[in-house]
Amino acid sequence: MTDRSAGRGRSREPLSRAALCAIWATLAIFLALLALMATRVASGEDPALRARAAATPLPPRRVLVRRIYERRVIVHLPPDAPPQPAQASQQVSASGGYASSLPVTRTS
Amino acid sequence: MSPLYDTSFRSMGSDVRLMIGTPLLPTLAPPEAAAARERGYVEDFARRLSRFRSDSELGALNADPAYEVRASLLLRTAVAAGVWAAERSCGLVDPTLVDEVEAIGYESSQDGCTPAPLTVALAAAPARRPARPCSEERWRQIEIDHERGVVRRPPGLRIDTGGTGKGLAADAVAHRLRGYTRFVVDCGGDIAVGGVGCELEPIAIEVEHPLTGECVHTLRLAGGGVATSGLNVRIWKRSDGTFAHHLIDPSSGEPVWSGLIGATALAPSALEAETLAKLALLTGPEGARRALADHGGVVVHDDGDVELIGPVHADGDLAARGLGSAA
Repeated sequence: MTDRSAGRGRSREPLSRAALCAIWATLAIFLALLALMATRVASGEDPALRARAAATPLPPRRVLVRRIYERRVIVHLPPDAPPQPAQASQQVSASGGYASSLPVTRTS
Repeated sequence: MSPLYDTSFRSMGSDVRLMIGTPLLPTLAPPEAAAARERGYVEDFARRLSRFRSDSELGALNADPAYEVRASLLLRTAVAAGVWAAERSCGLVDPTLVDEVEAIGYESSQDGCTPAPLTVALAAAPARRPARPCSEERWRQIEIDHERGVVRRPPGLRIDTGGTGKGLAADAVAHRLRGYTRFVVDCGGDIAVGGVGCELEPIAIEVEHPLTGECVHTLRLAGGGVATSGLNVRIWKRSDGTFAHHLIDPSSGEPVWSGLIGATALAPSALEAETLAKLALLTGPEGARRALADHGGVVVHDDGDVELIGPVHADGDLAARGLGSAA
């Protein structure tokens, strides 16, 4: 009992002048830093956003014009050979598996 | 990133490829089972909507002499997609050109046939000019009544859903696969992409040159659709020595020679991408620049030159930057 009441009594003691000074100084520094950062963010100088802002402008759009020359493959078939299937059907595999090639958009 | 299960098969006169990631919920089927299920869906879709089969639902609709015909949800949706494409393209992608397509020799499926050489056809083709819509606008006479489950059109007005069928099928399968991390549904080059995984790491899709078969550009898709339309596959020589292909100028009923041999379009859906790709090819270089300005695309001119349009950047090979490893 005695120890508990003594502890309560200590907690009610007013803070010392040094402790008060430390608290006020910490608070003042915090508010000063907060104001500084708010000013920088408001003026668009947020260092966290600077890198993204620099990356945002897209490069001017370029139109790529490539000339592609046709490659002809001439196949001589015997007169009684059956007609060749369409090129697209030769590229299909009926069995399933895990993807190893990119999808292709083409005329069908 | 987990690998995508990948399977290919032949349907709708084209190569169909399904790439499916892992399920988001444990109750969903594994990708292998989902791929088998969706293959069945695509094959059923093709069988019921084929213009070349008299026993298909579309064939029955076209042969029915009544003004109002009962139609399944799938058929109504396919017809509605065709009408939507006509509206979207100001009448250029017209689903009512069956008579014209048959008149130039496209009466049966050309699956498995060797196409005529495109360069020879181009050399013999008439002066280039963009297609124009048919003044009759027969597609406006089609009504779809989902409440009563019927399609109405003047008897004898035949409908071809083939111009939008692959894009619609890709979108439908993509919708059915929305519970998976990533998926790519490729119905003959008309591709739908989706899943949260694609948003985090977009899928790279190569654009094939219609003359050389080489990859001319790599697109990066986080979702939506991409489609290609070209003259190099369904092209044949007629008995009079002239060449024909399947893309018809609605104003003349003849194949269009617009100055372009291939067009690839990006759009929020594969159906819209397919419509825009056809619209670009039908309207030639100037029209293509307008049609593809919003979502972007790639066109190939008669001489083989490749042009990127809209928000598609020629900033190098995406696969080289590591996107290819996602697939």
